[in-house]
Formats: sequence, structure tokens, C-alpha cells
Amino acid sequence: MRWGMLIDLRTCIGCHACSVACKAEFDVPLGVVRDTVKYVEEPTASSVTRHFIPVLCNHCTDAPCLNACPTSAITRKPTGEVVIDEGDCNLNRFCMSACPYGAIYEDPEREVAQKCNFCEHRTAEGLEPACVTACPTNCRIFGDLDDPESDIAQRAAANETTVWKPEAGTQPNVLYIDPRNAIPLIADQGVQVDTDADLPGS
Amino acid sequence: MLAAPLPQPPWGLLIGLYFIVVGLPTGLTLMTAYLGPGPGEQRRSVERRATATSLAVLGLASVLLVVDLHRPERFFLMVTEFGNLGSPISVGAKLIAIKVLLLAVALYFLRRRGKPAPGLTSWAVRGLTAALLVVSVALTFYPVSVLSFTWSSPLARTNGAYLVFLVTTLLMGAAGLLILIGLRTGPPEVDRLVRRAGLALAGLQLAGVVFEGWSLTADPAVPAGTLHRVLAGDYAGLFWTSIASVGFGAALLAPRTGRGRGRIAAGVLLLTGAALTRYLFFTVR
Repeated sequence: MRWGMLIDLRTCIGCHACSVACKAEFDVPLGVVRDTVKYVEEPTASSVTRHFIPVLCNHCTDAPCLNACPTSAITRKPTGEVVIDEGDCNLNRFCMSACPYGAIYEDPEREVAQKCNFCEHRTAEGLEPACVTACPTNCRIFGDLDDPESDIAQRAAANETTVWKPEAGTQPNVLYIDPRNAIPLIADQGVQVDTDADLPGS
Repeated sequence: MLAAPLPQPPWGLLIGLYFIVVGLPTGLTLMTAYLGPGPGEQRRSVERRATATSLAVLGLASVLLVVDLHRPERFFLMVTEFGNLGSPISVGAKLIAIKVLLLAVALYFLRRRGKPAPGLTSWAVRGLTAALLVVSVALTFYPVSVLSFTWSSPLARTNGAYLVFLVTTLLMGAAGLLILIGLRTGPPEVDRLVRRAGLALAGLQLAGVVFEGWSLTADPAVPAGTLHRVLAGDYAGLFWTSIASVGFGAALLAPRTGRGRGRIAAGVLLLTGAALTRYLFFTVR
């Protein structure tokens, strides 16, 4: 069994219902995110196209964060998702330095490293992650990538899929249907929101 | 090309200093082994002081590591939970702990004026020396191994990085010995050996830097323009200061006989140059 997520960029409308649901589900502090949507403009000769690209932890098969963590606080569950055990984390931040996606942040309130865990508390009860449930266009499909009968596996087989930053060699389990080739436009970005545009005092 | 995925790198100046400082005790141990055992109280005094300095600096490095943790009260996890042998930090922490123990035992033997404890054979002493060497060689490459895991240190991902860290470690050791000899005049043969090593290592440092520069241009994973930023951009001051420091240090070593102050000055310059080179690997994004 291998939990994964397939995101269809043809139907993402950038509403941020997913990122709001994630924030609410885990009470994620201000300034950091587990899941967000990148807005990327792509100019052409006569117009500009805006792409909406949801990003989150990719729960990589070859996870650099898991390899890097010296306290084994980061582990892989039998269902494949990569999770952080708060009790064993001493915030050495090697995982943050190793993750090429910027998926891991330092939670200032809980004083541990945190990231998306595919809502393991929900999936353990047979529910889908909060972001999947919240999406109004059903652009996120969650399921077992190793089950050929699952919706996600069938959709992945029927469409050409890609991953974020394939050159990192991490074998992500978050796949994208990206016919307009928008993913390379965020090759130099990470999950954590760039706060340079914030107003003073925010 | 992998770019920075976080607005700020997770590690700051403390860890940068750690990667510099951890090279000195390793270098001192390796250079002391290069000198080899020798007769006379002066020779043993150099070895004692080098070993004691290694122990003290290794302790300082460990303090830097603990203070940098954003949960320093959980530093005990280094002992109870550092079980992931796939993590260079986990392996490095164990190596440092082992080396501290070995240095403490070595210092005990040295303070007994070289006389082994009753019942202890020379094989045990040789074993101790061999163990110190093996651990020190591993610790030579431990910092660059950690940095090569990260996105924030592209210089560390090249083939040249390991050569540079080996040379800077040995150079820091030679520089440390020069300072120790200069503070309390050491035997002439030690001065000669360390002087030759210092000059050779200064030359190797230059060769290592050139090789690293070539590696940067040849490696597609390194962000474009990195070499230019090191040679003529944001990091040029740091780079050329390190080169000049090593160069002037080598120049001060050129005279066959030198006074205490000259040896100390040469040692400080070589140490500074090696330290700045290591810091470059940490800080260049």
C-alpha cells in the first residue's frame, strides 16, 4: 500500500480551500504552511496565463528528510506517508536543509519540525485528507498508488503525469496532470510562502 | 538546477562556526600522528598540548552544536535517539563522542610521561593510536558529508569539496601545531617537520581550490554563476581573503629557522585561511 495524491492542474481554480482546510485542521501558525497554492504568471507574446499549482510535502519514496533526521523522528508509516514524531524532534533542522521542496517548517508554538502528513489521523479512520475533501473542483485525488483498481491509479495511468523537481531524484508520491507544462515554472520555489511582500507590522 | 526552497537557510552562523571548529581537533590528531612518537620531554610536551587542545576544541564544537539546537534541552536525544545510521549527523555525533573518549585516554597516558599503565601492553597503546587515526579520518569528511546532503551548500556537492575539506583539516592541524610550538619553543625537528607540512599543505590548498573551481563549472547540479559569485561577486571578499591568508602564512613559513612570533603568526594566518575556506562551503548559496 502506498498513499499518494494526484493533482489535476486543468481543474484547479486557485481558491485556496485546500490550504485553508489544512490550516484549520492542524491549527498551523501564521507565516508557515503545510499546503498552499502557487500562483504563477506565464507571459506569452500577446497575453499572460496564470497557473494555479497546489504544493505540499511529496512524501517521497526516497525521502531526503527521512535519511537526514539523526533522531529518527521522521519515519515512514506502513501506508507510505512520511511523518514527523514530535517527541523525538530536537529541531536540529537537518531535515529542513535536506528537503528540496521546502515542505518542512519550524512550528514556533509546538517547537518541533512539522509538515504535511496526509492527515494520518483522518486516513486512519477511512477519511480523505482535509485538503482533498475541501477541494470544490475535485482536482485532488487521494488513494493507494499501488492498487491498480483505485481511482488515483487509474487516473494516473490514463493521463500523462509529472512531478515537482524531478531532478532532485526523490521519487515523489504527489503526481500532477500538467498538460500546459506549468510545473517547471515553480522549479525555483518551495512550499513555504515567501513573505517578502508582507506589509510592515503583518 | 535546484534553487533555495526556503526564504532563509535553516542553519546560521553557529553551525557555520561548528563546521570550521570541528576541523581543528581532527587536524591536530592527524598532524600529531604525522610527527610520530619521539624521545624527549619537549616532544612529549608538544603531543600533550596538541591532545589537550584537541579535546578542548572538540568540547567547544559540541557546545556550539547543542546551543544551535532550537530545543537545546533535548540535546540528550543525541545519546538516546541518534539511531539513524543513514544520517551523517548521527554518525558524526557518535564519532565525536568516541574521539572525546579516546583523547581523554590518550591524554592520561601522555601525562604519565609515556609510561603505560601497569599491565597494559604496547599493543593497547598502538590500538589507541590507530583508533584515533581511524576516527579522525572519518571526522575529516563528516562536515562535507553533512553539507552535501543540503540544498543550502551547493559547493559541498562537488567532487572537489572532499579534497578541500581534507586539505583544510590537515592545514588547520599544521597551523595549530605551529601556534603551539611558537608559544613554547618546540624541538627543532618538530619545527622542521611542521614547517614542511605547512608549506606543502598551503600548496595543496591552492590546488584543491582550483580543482573545486573546475568542479563547479562541470557539475550541472550547481547553480549557474556560482563560480563567478565566489571569484568576483558576493563572496569574492571572503574567497580572496582566505587565499591571501594562506599565502602570507606560507610566506612567513618560508625561512628555515623561525622565531616563536613568526611561527605563531604563520599559524594564525594559515588557520584563518583554512577556516575561511571551510566557511565559504557553508555560506555560498
